[in-house]
Amino acid sequence: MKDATKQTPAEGIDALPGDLMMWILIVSELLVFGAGLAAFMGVRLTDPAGFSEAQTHLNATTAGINTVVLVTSGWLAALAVQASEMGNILRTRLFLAAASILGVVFLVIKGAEYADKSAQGIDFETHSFFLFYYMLTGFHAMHVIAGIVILALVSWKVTPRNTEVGAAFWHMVDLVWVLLFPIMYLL
Amino acid sequence: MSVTNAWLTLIALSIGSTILAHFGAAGIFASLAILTLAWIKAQVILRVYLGLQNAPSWGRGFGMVLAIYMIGIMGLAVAAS
Repeated sequence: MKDATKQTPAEGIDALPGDLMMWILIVSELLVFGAGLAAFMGVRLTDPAGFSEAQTHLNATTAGINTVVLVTSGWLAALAVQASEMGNILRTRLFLAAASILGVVFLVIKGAEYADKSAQGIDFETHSFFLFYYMLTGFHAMHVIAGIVILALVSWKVTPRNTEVGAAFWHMVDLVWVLLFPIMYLL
Repeated sequence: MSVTNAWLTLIALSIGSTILAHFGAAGIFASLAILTLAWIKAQVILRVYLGLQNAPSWGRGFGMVLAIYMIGIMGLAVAAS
């Protein structure tokens, strides 16, 4: 006789962790940023020396600090998911608040970076490198803002599902940055 | 891998790539090393933070697409050097 309580492992779409719509959003965003970064690398071929010179105006150390900030924020969001699954709402909210605060820290550092570029007279038209720089990092910063809003909404209505979906968006923002940072700032 | 171990791995890899670039490592091998570290970081986020380690078939699929993408980016980096 078969054990009725035994569950078969999920397959296909059902095996995907979290919400399917969030995965569709994540894949869409990754495709957009992926295309942007590939275009950046492609255009770089037309003027490698100009791109290298333009890159010297970026501060890789500050961007490295921002990477640590965002990755740590992602870790806190992942801990919020675990707390939510254990039913600890207060702990979930604390982790989400901490993740959001680090998101704000990321934006403040990014804002200081933009202010520094502006003070140097660098804008979209200075070089095609900076067109990509402002477009990709600016679009990413908008996603950080959207992520902070989503985490705030999740903190308001904490459920394991909401927390997982909100954290998944935040991890997508994290994932984009770990690819954008080396390509834009370090190569 | 736990989320805390994933975080420590990501911090170590991020610091590693920044140090590599900051202390003057240049040229194609440095670029490939930096991109390889980014590739590993992306895999860690997909597998641990986004939970694909619990969905092996999806993990393999995402990993394969990421591999094709990163190899393409590495190819463009080599071409620009």
